[in-house]
Amino acid sequence: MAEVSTKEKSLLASLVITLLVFGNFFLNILELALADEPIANIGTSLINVVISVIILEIIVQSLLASLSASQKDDERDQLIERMSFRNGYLCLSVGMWIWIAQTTIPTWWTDLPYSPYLTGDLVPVLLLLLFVIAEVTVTVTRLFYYRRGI
Amino acid sequence: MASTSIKNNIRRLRFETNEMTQQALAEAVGVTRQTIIAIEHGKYSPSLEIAFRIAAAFHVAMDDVFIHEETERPLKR
Repeated sequence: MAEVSTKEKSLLASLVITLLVFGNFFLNILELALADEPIANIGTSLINVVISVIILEIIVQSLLASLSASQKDDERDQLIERMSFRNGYLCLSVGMWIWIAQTTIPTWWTDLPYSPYLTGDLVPVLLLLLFVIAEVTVTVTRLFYYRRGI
Repeated sequence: MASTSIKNNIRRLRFETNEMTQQALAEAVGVTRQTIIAIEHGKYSPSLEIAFRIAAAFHVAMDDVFIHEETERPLKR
C-alpha cells in the first residue's frame, strides 16, 4: 500500500473530527426530536459544537504540521481541490432543492408528504447538517482523488 | 472513438540521471513529491508547463519523457 502523505493525514484528521463532533451533536438532536422533547438552547449548542471543531482542528493540524515538513500546494492539489468543491457544491444544492421542494410543494398540493422537521426550531440544525454533509463530501472526494489518482 | 493514454519514462530517466530522487525531481520541477509519484504511476497527467519542466530537468525532449498512445474504443450507443 502506498504511503500516506501529510495532506492525506490532515484530511483524515479533519474527517474524523467532523464526523465525531458533528455526528454526536446531530444524534443528540435526533433523539430529542424523535422523543418529541423540546430542544433547549439550540443556538448555544450550535456555537459550542462549531467552537469545539475549530479548537480541535487547530490542535490536530498544528501537531501534524510540526511532525512533517510543510508543503505548498501545486497544480495537482489545486485541481483535486476544485473537483472536490464541485462535488460538495452539488451535494449542498441537491439538499437545498429537496428542502425547498419539501417546504413549498405541500402548500400547492396537499397530498404530498410534509415533514414538520423541515421548519421551525430545527431549521438551523438542518442547515448545518447540509453544510456538514457537503464538507464531508469535499473531504472524502479529496481523499479519494489523492488515493486513486486524477 | 479514440481514447488516449499517456505513459512516461520518468522512473527510468531518474535512474539514468545519477539516480535522481523523486524529491530532487520535485524540487527541480516545482511540485510536491506526491505529484511526481502520481505522474510516475500514471495517476495524474501533468499540465504542459510541468511536462516541459520535467523534460528540461532531464535535458531531454518531451517525447523522450512522455509517450502518447492512442487506442481505438467503440462508440457507446
